[in-house]
Amino acid sequence: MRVVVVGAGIVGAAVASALARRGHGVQLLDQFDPGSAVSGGSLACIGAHMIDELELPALQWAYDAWSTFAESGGYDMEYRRCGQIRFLTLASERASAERWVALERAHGLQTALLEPADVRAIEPALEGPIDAATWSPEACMVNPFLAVRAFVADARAHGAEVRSRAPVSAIETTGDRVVAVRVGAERIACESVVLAAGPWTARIAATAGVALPIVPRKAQCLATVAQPPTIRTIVGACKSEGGVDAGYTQIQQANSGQILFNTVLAGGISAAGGLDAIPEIDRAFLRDSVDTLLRLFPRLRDVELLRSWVRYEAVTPDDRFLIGRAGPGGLLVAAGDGGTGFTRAPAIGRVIADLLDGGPTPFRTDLYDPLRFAPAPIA
Amino acid sequence: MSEALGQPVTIVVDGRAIATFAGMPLGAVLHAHDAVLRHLPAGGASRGVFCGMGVCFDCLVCVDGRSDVRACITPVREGMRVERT
Repeated sequence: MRVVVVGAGIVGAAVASALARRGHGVQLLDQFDPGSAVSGGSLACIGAHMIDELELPALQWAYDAWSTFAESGGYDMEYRRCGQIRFLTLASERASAERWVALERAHGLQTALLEPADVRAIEPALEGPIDAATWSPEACMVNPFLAVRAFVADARAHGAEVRSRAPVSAIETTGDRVVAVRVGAERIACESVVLAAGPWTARIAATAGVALPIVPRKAQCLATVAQPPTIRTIVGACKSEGGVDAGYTQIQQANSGQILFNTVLAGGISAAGGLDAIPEIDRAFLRDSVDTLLRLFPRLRDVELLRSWVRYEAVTPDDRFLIGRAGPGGLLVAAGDGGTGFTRAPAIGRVIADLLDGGPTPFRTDLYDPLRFAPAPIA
Repeated sequence: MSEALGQPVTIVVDGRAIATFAGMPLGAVLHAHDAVLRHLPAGGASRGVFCGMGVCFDCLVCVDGRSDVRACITPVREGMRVERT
């Protein structure tokens, strides 16, 4: 089948790879370059910890798929099983953390709740005051640029055509089926279109008459100049509940030695037009994140900041992806990362490939129905 | 040209004395002797003066015991001790 995949972030690249491996004729298009937008601006973490109870089997499937892909040896993506710490600063957060630990252990994960002394045995530089932390030893980190390129290369190796600077302006339909996409004046005929365009997805879907509840959420990041090995794991605050309004913090040290700091502000929905601008971080973010970083890791006090950047995550009302068919025949959606696109990407590729081929998927897919928020028809 | 230069000074780069003029950009002085100022900790690729205006952080050196100093925007002073990494 001729399939156009719109968006070559980690999700689009994984979808293109999955479809090309099944023998479909895939064209993977990106408005800029593969991994140049949200994925390249990410702190790519792969793990199932504190994401979603109902999705745990799918997350574990995706985790194993990453492991197989990364350890096949075909591509260098700086994949490293470093583990993840989520710190608690208040004793009142313990009940929620204990609930997550129990349910993840029931699914066979090795999640644990650690007292501060045990946290410091794992992460010695985390010397700031914490009440406790959860520990997910399975979590991995990956270089986001290299990982996107690996999936793109894998798609190419299986026959996919990959194009940069090919922004899709519209989906063309005849009757109730998609027949082509438009890239400027060019028309690319196809039988299926997979929208994996992250925060740009809703805009493109609208050209086929499909309304999707995806909003951009501003995530802000800092990087220091390269340091000797200091932070071993992925360090984050415990999950705060609540879809679009949830915020989170993530700190880790890249293979380059740079220490990366990522914060998604609660309710940080972008200003109008922000998605297509080259935005700067907020001053308040800079102050708050430096305070947080130094409170947790006081020995980083004299380290120079290197750069800052902003990305826009695509967020859905329930923090789950939209994956599946929507609107005219042949149109599929794979977007709504909520900051966890890397973790889920191989599973999304699997779902899309199974939908196109009519085969069974080894985990629940009803959770991702793109039309689950649509108002029920009036009887 | 010469009247624009500062006082003659001597700096020490990796233990070696180099004669130059006060106020010259350290990056320019180092570059005249060796374009390579350091190697990336991951992969070992060479780095030196690239943007020349304090943005790219490729020209980091250690100056008087302080690491991660951008050579390109650091004026030379008498007796400055510089270590490349």
